[in-house]
Amino acid sequence: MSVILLASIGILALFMLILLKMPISFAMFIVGFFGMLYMTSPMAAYNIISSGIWEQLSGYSLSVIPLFIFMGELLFRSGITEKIFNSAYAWIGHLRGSMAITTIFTSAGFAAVSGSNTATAATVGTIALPEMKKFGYHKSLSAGSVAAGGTLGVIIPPSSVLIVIALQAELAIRDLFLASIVPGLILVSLFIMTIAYLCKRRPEIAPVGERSEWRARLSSLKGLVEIVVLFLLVLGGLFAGWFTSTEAAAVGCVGALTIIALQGRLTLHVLQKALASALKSSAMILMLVTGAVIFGRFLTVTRLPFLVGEWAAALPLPAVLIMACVLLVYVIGGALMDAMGFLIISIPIFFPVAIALGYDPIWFGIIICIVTSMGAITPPVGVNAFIVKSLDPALSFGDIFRGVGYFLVPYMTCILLLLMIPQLVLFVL
Amino acid sequence: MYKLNLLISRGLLGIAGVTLLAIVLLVAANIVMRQLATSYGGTSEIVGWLTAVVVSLSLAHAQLNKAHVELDILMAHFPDRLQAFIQTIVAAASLLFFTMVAVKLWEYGYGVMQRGMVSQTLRIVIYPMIYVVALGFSAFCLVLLTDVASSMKRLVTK
Repeated sequence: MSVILLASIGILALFMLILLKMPISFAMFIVGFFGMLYMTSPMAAYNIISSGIWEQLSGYSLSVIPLFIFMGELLFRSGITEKIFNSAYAWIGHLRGSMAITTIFTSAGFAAVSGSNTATAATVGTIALPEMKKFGYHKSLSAGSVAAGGTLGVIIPPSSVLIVIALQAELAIRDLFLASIVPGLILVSLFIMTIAYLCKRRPEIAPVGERSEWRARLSSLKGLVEIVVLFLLVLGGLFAGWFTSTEAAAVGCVGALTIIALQGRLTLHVLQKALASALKSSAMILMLVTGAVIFGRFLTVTRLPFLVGEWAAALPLPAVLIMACVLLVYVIGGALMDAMGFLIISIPIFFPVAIALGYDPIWFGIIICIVTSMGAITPPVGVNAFIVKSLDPALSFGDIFRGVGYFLVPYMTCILLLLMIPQLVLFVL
Repeated sequence: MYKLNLLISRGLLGIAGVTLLAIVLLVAANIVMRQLATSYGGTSEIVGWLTAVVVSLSLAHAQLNKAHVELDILMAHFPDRLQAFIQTIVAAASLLFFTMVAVKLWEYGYGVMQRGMVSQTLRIVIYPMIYVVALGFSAFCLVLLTDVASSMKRLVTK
């Protein structure tokens, strides 16, 4: 049997198992193992599920994942979301659409400590949806801004998706974090411009709020300063080269523990909850990463990724067109599957293609992160849309997806901008 | 069975939690030591081992809470009985595979112990850590066994 055929059977089997509702990580373990068993020897295949798993799990670089997740869980319990929301509203509440804009700012702020799109949508939505309802915001606008704002969780650093991309593609976490800042800011700006445009065209969808006094604005910053300082210390220290990514995450955990202790919120119960939640997410992510390594080794043995890369590079088409096709695969994949799951499966296949086409690996890591995160708001999966629905069952899916539709235009604009001008991502490196 | 799994997974999760806190302290202490004198050379080795312990001991809890990412778009359209049948097959396949992984990890740990293998930097034995990882995967298999039993029960009652 030719290796190409075998690799294709492997990929097909993987998707079949996933469609049969087998967890993605389990499917990658199983297909990778049996692929190796067929391609190499029983000894090599058994080694990969014993010494291979041990070596993968005991790698120093993986420790960054539970640490960053734990930091986010601790800060989430510091009441950061309410503080950002109240502060943003105090500053811009007098503008039309301010509550929706505040939702985007709060999502961006929460994303800076969280790193998960579902956590961002659920946390911000819990506060923002009832507020927007109270102020008479149109259902579509409120649902759309919460769902779309949630996707910022994986784009703005620190992000567990970016860490996984870095580990999968063997890139520096620091570089990916640094490179994601400008695209994140572009996306936030485009979201806000979209809200402003919608409010200008249809003023009835977003009533104007009251203007806060300067004293209220300044006092709203209380309790936020220390979190901003921690964020600057963690990411600044990482970017300046003071810490490795694991050290930056550990500093973040110590800082977060200190902040909630000073607030008087650090109880054994809070610590247990934060640890349990962080450990659950970490186990899920690291199983995905380990499964992807086993599946990736099988693909490497078949040489499929390199052959696809060579084939794509030899096509008589402009590189940008081929890249657009690759990104289309990510749009579809992101719409059908969880972003992290799809990224983990696809990176071993498409990363060599991007390199063969002459694209920068960091740029590719950032753009696929943005494209797949868009999948969190596009049907049929659109996990953030389901989170919004669960937070406010009175919202219909029609309202939610109409609202989400407003934010697909800025998403596409951002992707096109980054595709046409890669320097927007790379100039900071 | 479920109660036993809950008890085991909570116990292991508790150990994983303490281990995660130990990682935080160790890495933070190493940063401070680096500023004052010299860093502790074995930090990355120990942090790596502890990460393996954290992840493997959390697996049972994650599975008990259905934390692993799965795709529901096709299965949701199948009749209940067919769904239950497929779920039983999928759960049984997962159980068999990860039981093999757990057995191979125990064997690997035993092999490492027999050969007296030590770590590269600290020159200490690593087999106890491999045994802990094998223990985590074994507890994970116990939860998978409950999943098989509950999907079979669903299949019979549908």
